[in-house]
Amino acid sequence: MSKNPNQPPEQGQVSDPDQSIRSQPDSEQSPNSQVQPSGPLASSSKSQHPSNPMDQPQKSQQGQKTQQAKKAQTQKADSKVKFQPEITEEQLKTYYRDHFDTNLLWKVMDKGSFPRREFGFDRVGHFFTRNKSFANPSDLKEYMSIYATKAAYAGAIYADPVRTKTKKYNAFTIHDTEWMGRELIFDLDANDYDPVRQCDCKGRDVCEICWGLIQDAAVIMDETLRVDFGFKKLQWVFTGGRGYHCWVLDRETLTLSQEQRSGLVNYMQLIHDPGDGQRVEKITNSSVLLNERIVRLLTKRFVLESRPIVLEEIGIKKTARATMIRKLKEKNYKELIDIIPRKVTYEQFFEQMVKYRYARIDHKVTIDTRRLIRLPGSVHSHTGYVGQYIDNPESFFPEDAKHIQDITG
Amino acid sequence: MKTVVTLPAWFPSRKVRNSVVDEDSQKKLTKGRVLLLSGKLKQKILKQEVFETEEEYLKRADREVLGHGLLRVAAAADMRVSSWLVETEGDLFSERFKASIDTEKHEIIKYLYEDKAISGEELSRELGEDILLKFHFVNKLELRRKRLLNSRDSNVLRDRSGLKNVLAIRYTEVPDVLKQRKFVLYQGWILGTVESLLSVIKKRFEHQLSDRISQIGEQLDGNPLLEKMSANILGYLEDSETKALINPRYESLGIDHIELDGSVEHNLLILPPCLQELIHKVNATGYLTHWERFQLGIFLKVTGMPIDEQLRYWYNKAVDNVGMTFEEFTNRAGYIIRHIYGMEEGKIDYTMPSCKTIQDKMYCTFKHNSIQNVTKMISEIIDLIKKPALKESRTVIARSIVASTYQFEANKACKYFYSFITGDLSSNPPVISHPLQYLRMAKEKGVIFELNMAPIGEPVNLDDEDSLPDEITDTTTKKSIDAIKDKDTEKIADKTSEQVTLEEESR
Repeated sequence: MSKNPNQPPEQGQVSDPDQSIRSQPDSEQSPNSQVQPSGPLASSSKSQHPSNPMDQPQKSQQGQKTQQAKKAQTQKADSKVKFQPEITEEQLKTYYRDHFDTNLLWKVMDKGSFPRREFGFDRVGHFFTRNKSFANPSDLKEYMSIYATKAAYAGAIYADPVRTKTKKYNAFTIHDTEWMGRELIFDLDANDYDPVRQCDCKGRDVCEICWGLIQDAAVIMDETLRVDFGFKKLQWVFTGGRGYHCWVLDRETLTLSQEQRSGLVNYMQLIHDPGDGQRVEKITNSSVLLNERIVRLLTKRFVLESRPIVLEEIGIKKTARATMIRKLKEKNYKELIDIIPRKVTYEQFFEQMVKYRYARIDHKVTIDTRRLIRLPGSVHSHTGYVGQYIDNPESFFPEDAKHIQDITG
Repeated sequence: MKTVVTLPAWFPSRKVRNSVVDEDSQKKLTKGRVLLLSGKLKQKILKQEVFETEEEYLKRADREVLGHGLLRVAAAADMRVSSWLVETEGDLFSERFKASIDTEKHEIIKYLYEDKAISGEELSRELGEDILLKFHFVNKLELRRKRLLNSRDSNVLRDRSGLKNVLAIRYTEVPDVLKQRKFVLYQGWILGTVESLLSVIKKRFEHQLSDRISQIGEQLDGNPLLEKMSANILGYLEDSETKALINPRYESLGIDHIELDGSVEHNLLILPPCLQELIHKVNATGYLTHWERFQLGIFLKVTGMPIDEQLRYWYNKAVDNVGMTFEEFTNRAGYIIRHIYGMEEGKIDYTMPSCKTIQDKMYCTFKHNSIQNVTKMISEIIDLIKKPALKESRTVIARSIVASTYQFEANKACKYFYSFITGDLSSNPPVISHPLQYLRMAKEKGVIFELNMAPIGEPVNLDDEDSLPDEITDTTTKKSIDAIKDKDTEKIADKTSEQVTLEEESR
């Protein structure tokens, strides 16, 4: 039986358990992570950086210090982002109808090309769909509220508005019309750090400790994009899930080819085979800016926040680590070489630091010029968090984001 | 707006004063250029052992440039001449560029990059900071000495002559260099001395020359004057003396011919993906670009299609022959085909080009296609597989194909595609470097998909019940086809979209 695509879905359609967004509890979730109705991090503390275990009040005995540090680390690891909340179809509709601010889309999108931009949607009770475009943001908003959108995505800009072909309507799909441009977008995901995360998080889990890795990555990328590439307009977005997207909005980036995007992301990508080999690429002396940046921005947190075993892997024992920490606290070092124990080479230290703390960019998101990317401001159905525009990725935590439960009650 | 530049007399892309050349002169000019590119003449000229007045020099330079232009026309019709020309012209360019004075170098750089390359000084002015000093292209002592010489009372440096010639190239123009991180990158500009960037500049020159040859190739078919000229020049290159200088590389694997059992269209699934796509493209649109025609034409020849049959093939497929009889078509537009079979001047017996040449000049599925299209193509095939185990194993290989495409490793992606199509998973097949290598391997192995799979890009005929794959029992695919039959168009459109999003950003 044919169905009018503009009609809202019938009530009964959500009853299919596979299609329902009411999901089972996450089996990987720590028993300590209580699922709260509000959904934010369990921890109430908000700091620019997770507190350093070594910054805990001094105790008379070394053992007590270690115990204290371990306890602090465990507390942070326990404060995980809640996943798979109970979100109803009605809440989604209410959010998109009453709270989704389309004016904010202009932070990342150009008004002139909006009608020719592709969108994609995962809707309650329907198949995933793409090849959609809208004359104006109000139509987009209406569509998302009618269909109770679980996930919304924005794609590239084309020469014509795109639409799925139907019997009556021989429309342009993205393959029938000319590709006109796409913002340069970078994706940082906590799960890409799985091999080196020093908390007990895996996959979609995020805690303050591993979120620090995302923050570090964002800080380094932000500076690299601004200084090395000279980009002026960057917009960081919390995806609502486990990471950030960085939209580079400078005009010239819109028409970059896949090869150019690949060159760009490869300039920043230093870790190859992130899943297995963890091969760290050597930086030549010519990359003086990148080299200096990594040392300046990562050294302190790498030494202070890494578990002892990470440094022991390259031959830095406890006492040497303590000396390094003391030197770092003095803040009078200018060269990395000053704080590294003599037995360890600069290259060894640098490689280990890059491996454990440097940005891990999902290069596919950047290179693929037709890829759909989560729409800022839309709800992430796995977490219930709303994708949020952020000014300072260094000081943002997922718990700062708005949650659909809070917004819609 | 294009920057106005005054190029040095030797630069092959500059305009000459009198570009009208009669047939008698063509031979002389062509051979002259070949001698310059390959012979002792090059060394003599480069070492400035030729003594001449300025007028003589300019006349000689004009002849050289005209010779280059004629060779470009020949190269447009002959892939091997094209490869040779691009390579040797690149070498000559490199040597002459090195020997040029700074102002000439700057003119050439302006021509090659327009406003995408500027001097270090210009960049310093633009950014308002001394780039040369910041990145140690000049040391402080040297700078102080210069300052003292220029103005004893001021810190302003008026004359920087003698300091290193630093060049800044926009990052968009050199994505390969960007990956290597061999140069300083600052505010979107790659910085290096002109000497250190020589290989980058040479590559740019070769790339532009290659593009120009392709453009001429596009104009070649159906242009009798150009066809005649290219045939003449190729004829001049065939005499033993010149041929020895050009020494074209015959690219083959020791196999230059594979007979197919039946027509190519009956063997579509075992063909390399690039050829499958070209066959589909010519079927669907009736048009291929110049080098794509060359690629498919040679392939049809080396797989056993006689010339008459191939001429008929193109006559039937092409869309630009409306109102033309077969004889007219053969005479007017069949030049490339006759040329491939050695029926034109040159009498070259073409062998199938290697993947490298195809990637440089022609059409490679994994080099020239978008990642999205590659993903879509693979997803569509996976969707036709009914057995869950087979589907699973192919999905794993599909990821490798897509990953290699992302990494711009086209040969590797092709190898995985071979495994994907043939199910050759037991041993690690070699990386594909030649279309005939692929064909030979695929022919031996055969396609083991247990379904009546449509070739790449060709939709399943849904009106014909018999043409549907018997084994489509996979629920989603079955639903899709049922949905089409039920005219539930919105639903199927959505489903198709879902298939497209194998690599969807779904976080």
